[in-house]
Amino acid sequence: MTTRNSRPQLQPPDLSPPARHSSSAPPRIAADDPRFAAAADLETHDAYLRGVQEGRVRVVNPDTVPSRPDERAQPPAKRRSPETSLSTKVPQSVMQQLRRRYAETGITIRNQILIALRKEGLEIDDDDIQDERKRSRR
Amino acid sequence: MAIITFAQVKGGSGKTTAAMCTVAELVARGSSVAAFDLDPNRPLGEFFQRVPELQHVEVAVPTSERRVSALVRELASRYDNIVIDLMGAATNDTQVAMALADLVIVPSQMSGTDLKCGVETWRQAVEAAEISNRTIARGVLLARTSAGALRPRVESFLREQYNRVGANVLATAFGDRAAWKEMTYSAHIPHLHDRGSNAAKNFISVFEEMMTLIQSVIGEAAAA
Repeated sequence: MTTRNSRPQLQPPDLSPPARHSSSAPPRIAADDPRFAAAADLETHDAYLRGVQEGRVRVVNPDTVPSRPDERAQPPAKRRSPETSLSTKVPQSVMQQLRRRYAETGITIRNQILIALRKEGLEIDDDDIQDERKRSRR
Repeated sequence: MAIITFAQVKGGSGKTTAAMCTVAELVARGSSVAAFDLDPNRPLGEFFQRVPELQHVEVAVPTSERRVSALVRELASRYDNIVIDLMGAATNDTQVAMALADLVIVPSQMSGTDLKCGVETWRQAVEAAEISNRTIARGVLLARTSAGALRPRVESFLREQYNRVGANVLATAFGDRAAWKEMTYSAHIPHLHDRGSNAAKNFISVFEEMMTLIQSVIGEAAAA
């Protein structure tokens, strides 16, 4: 009777995860998935105003707030003179009202002030009231 | 495969931490993932840059030229998963990001304000699903809960309150651990760097429940 001098070496089994078949993997979201159109409908200025009126929107993200349609249609304004910065202090309640009005109407605080000043008799042209930030948006 | 939106109209509820952890877990599992940061503080990109394993993760931010829906559609053409983090307020983005999602997670801590805002967020998610005529998986994720075995009375109370308005609360909760508080300083993510730790096990449980929620909705849609 013969005996083996050494025991066979143990071979580690293949424990790698089974290959995932591409057909079983859920596909990427298609570009024409209806969710994108539904979300785009919520990004219109009308939807935004409805959100404000119904209380769903209480804070405006300046990066994504939809511009008013008429703002998009306007040709670039020609300012009569270059802009300069103005910094001042106002009562907090006034600032809150300006912000609220901006959320409700989309009229920037700068333009609310310019419109009010024009009503007081200062000579301010329509082109000066256009909002520089909104002109190139969408 | 999935768009996951973290939403809560109250700030400081744990949205961003949960979003960071979700991206890290998807990376740990070898999934393709991008993030979309709607928080003007832009915490995601800054954090991912500090973690070598996450530096490659694309973090998109809104631009003045393109709508959020268009940006997310473009990301979805290149990545399997997208994680969206919202600003902690009721903004013009909230329902947009919800309408895009397969899963909306509403993180909520234990305070009455968290509950009230969490319910409002939940209702916005329900409405977003109705508006977009889609089934969107949803779950409230209780955050900063006691990491111990005993569940404090307030946690059970909170679950009851959410259930009372029909909100589904995840069985797993995001425990209050130093690891999560230290994460943005240490760049050490438990489930990415130490998967055996208790903190890692906690988040992996949360993640797996989120995936189960998504799968259940996909299953419902397939059966319909």
